[in-house]
Parts: sequence; C-alpha cells; structure tokens
Amino acid sequence: MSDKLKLYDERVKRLKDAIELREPDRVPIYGLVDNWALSYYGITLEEALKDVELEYKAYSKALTDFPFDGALASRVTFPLNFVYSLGGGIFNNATETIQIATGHSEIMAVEEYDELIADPMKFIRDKILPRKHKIFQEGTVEEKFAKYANSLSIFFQFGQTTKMLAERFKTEHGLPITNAGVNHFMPGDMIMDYLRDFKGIMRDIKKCPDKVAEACMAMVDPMVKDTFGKMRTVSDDKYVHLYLHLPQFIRAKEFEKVYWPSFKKYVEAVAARGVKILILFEKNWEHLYEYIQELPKGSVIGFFEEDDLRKAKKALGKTMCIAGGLKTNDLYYGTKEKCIEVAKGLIDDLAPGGGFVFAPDKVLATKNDAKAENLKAVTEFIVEYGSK
Amino acid sequence: MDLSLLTQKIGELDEEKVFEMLNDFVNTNPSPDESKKVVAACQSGMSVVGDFFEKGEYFVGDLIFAGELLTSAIDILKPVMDTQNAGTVGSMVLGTVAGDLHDIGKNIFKSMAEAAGFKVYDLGIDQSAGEFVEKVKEVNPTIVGLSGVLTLALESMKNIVEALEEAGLRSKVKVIIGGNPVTKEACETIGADAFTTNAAEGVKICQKWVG
Repeated sequence: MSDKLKLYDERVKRLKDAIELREPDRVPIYGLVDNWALSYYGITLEEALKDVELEYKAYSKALTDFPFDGALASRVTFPLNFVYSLGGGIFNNATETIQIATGHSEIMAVEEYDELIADPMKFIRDKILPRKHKIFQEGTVEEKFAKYANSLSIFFQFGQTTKMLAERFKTEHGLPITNAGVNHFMPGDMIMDYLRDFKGIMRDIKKCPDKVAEACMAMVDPMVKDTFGKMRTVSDDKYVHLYLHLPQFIRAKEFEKVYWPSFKKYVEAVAARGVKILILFEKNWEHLYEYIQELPKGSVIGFFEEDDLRKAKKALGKTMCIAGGLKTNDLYYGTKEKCIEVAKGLIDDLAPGGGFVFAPDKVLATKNDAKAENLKAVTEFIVEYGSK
Repeated sequence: MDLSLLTQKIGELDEEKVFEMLNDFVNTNPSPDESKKVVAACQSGMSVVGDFFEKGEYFVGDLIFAGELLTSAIDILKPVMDTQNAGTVGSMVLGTVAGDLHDIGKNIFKSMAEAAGFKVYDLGIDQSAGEFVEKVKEVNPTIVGLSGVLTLALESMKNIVEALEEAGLRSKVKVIIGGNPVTKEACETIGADAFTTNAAEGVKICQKWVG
C-alpha cells in the first residue's frame, strides 16, 4: 500500500476514534478551510472559478502546508458557475467570499405554507424555481428547458469534479476530504435562507409556528432521499455536513417547536445508516444543549463557535465529539504564543478521554481569518503536545 | 392610556395589544404633547427588549420582530405626532463596512435609533472608507456607526476611522462599532469611541453622547 494511502487511513481512523468518543493516538486537527485558501495561494475567486487546476493547486497548498487530519472541502464550496448559469442567486461573491445577500430571499408568501407542506418538491420546483431564476422568466418553453438542461450539466460537472478532486487529495496527499457532496442546511434554515428570508421567518415563528413546524417536518423525507441518492456507499471517510443558520437567532422554546423535530429526525435517519455527521453549530448553542444531547451517540462531530468548549464537553461529551477552540480573532490578530497557549489549555482540558478535535472557531473564509505563521505554529505544536 | 402598560406590552412583543392600545389612543384625538409621551413609552419598551436580549432571554429574532413592531407603532401614531416641530436628537451616518454584506444587525440598530429620535443616514452594505467620508462631509452627523459580522470587518472599520482622521473629520464625530467580532481590544485598535453587540445598548450609548 502506498505511503499516501497509509497516511489517509491513519487520519481517517484518528478522526473516527474521536467522533466515536474514544481517545485517538493524538488530538486530531480539522482543516475548516474555506475561501482563505485562495488568498493564501494568491488567486482570486474569479480565477479559481475559471480554472479547476489552479483551484486545486490553491487548496492543495492550504490543506497540506499544515498537518490537518481532515478537511471541509477540496475546492470553493459553492457551485457558483451553476448559479451564474441560472441567472444569479442569493449568494453575492463580489467580495472574494461567499455571503448571502440578505433581503432577496422572500420569494414565498406566508399564505403558501400549506402548498409547501403538501408537497415540498413540487412547490419548490413548480412555483419557487420559476419565480427565482432569470432563465425561467423569458423565452419559449424550449428555450427555458435548454437553458435549464445546460445549468444542470454544469451542476453535474461540479459534482463530478469535486469527487475527482477529493480522490486526488486522497492519492496525492493522503488527506481525507470528509465532504461526501452532501452539504445540507436543515429545513428551518432552508425556509429562512431560500423561501421567507430573515424578517419573514422571524415573523412566521411568532405568528404561525405550527405552519413552520409542519413545513420543516414535510421537508425531511425528500432530504433523506437526496442524501442517500448522493451517498451511494457508506464509508468511514465520508460524512454528511450540516451548516445550521436559524437556531442561533431564536429562543429555546421556539427552536423546540419549529426546528428541533425535523433536525432530530434527519440526523437520526443518517446516523442509522452508519454515516457520521459533521455539524457547524454556528454562534452560541448553550441554551440548546438539553436538546442536542439527544442526538445519536458517537455519530456527530460538533463544531462550536462561541460556546465555552469546556462547558460543551461537560454537557454533550457523552453524545458527540466536540470540535473547535481557537478564535479567528486570535489566529489573525494574536501572537503565535497566544495561539499556542490557547491550544495547550484546550488539549489539557478536553483531550483526556477523547471526543475532542482541534479547529478554529469558524471556517477560514477570508485572509483576515488567520495568519499563516500562527496557524503553522499552533498546528505543529498540537502534533507534538497532543500525542499520547 | 396606561403608559407603563404600553411599555410592558412592547417589551413582551404583544403586537395585538400594542396595536389595540395605540389605535384606541389615536381615536381620542390626543394633543401632540400627549402623543410625545406615548412615543416615549414605546421607546422605553425597546429598552426593555434590549434588557431581555442582554439577559439572554430574547434573541436576534425577537429584536427583528421588535424593530418591526416599533416601526408599525410609530406609523399608527404619525397622524397625531407633531412632526413639524419634532427636532431630532442627533444625526448619524450608518453602514455595514467594506467586504461585509450583513445588515440585519445594522437594520435593527437603525430602527431603534430612529425610534429614539435620531436621523439616520443609512449607507447600506459593503461601504468603503471613501463612501463614509463623503457622507460625513455632506451631512455633518453627530455620530458614525460602523457595522460588521465577519472578522474582516475589523480591518475595514480601522480603515474608515483612519480615513476620517485624514479628512480632518474624526474629532467632529463620535464613532460606535457594532457586530459579532467587536471587542474592547478591537475598539481600541480601531480607534472607535464605543462598541456594542446589543442594538439597544448601542442606542443608549448614542443617547448619552447627545443628551
């Protein structure tokens, strides 16, 4: 077996041990690297979107210059060329990052919840897509179908290329890209980001929470189907990735009513098939620990952004692997010494017994999220200090 | 009109009760002075909302809802408000800084500031140092508010404060920064006068500056 494949298996096992709540041979380091890779290499987002080979070079450098055991993505995470071909979307990437341009997603009227509940796929396909995308708004039926077919081919190409790049990371670098191509938001997030927008859903949660809850539940089955349509095989090196947007903005009781049941159902369905789930618990989830501690044991790796990880491990350590710990503010504005000090504290307090993975507190999206020398110093320190 | 009940109901985000009370009030043909007191009671309600947020009982979703509630409340009262003589307590130039497209927090802060009597010039998102300087030159505000969520916003905020200095405008305004990444250290590095992650607290700070 080649060196790289051996290294690959070592890293997969290291992460697997941590997620299954055992103590690995050393503290794993996860590469939560997003568009930061582009500025680190020295290319723009536009350039990356036009040249896959260049994109791969950039991400290769960012992901192999540091001793990561696994990484989020092999490339720019969002199929922007696909979005362009549809005539644009909600992501505005004029700034070298991929940010949602708020205020443009109230495409569904509050009166339409019943339609969404009755058949989410039909509603989104037949009502929302034509409302949202330019290519469906002009031309003959034939022209519309042709443009749509073109868009889909770009989308499929993105999927295939992404898989191919992940395979190259495996054979050329021995680095697991844990992204299986299933990057989901939960139903509540999708309604917020794509259908009702921020103001809309905040109002709906107060005024018609039953509808929101029902709509979220109705979306779970299509999501599970989509998940396993994409993941034809189950393997230790590929996880489902979830990015949770809505819960940080609402009260615990509101979360319990509208978001939690569908979230729990989806995660349970995925875990039941033996697949690990990587979840970005964005902002602060302390007020929701009583819920998420019920998620399937040993199946989830939870990245926490603002939470005190020591508190998180105490509350959730029997259920899920806790990940994160170093603020991007420190990675960029702090000294090497400060970063190492933080890492040492995390390892001392959280590594014993396993179930801990080191990472920054959020994805590295822009140049200002990390100084390379800080990242290098702290990850090299962890390889030494975090070994058994 | 039970002013303290109105304040309480705004604090509780009880939209139906608030609209009922305000519509009943407007139907009594009140004087501008009486209306002024009612507006003040609404603003106190927003302070209550801010306190709940500070305590961790309310979340951003509640602030959004409160902002909308307040805007609607002021709309109901407009016909009986003395808008002729209503001076503003101060003016501010507000915007989300360059590279950042997030505006929810900024918008919450804006509606609360307007409800508190500030005239707000909202530049929008992704605003450069040049754009801030130009607007400040144009409208001579009391306060400049810089908003951002991403780590990169801190860099942009620093640039904007430096640009204000270069243009000889820094000493003429108070600068407040708001958003996820702002901290005391960031505030000092950036050279702002105050920082906050709570819109209602931010408005209180601004009120102290003009009051």
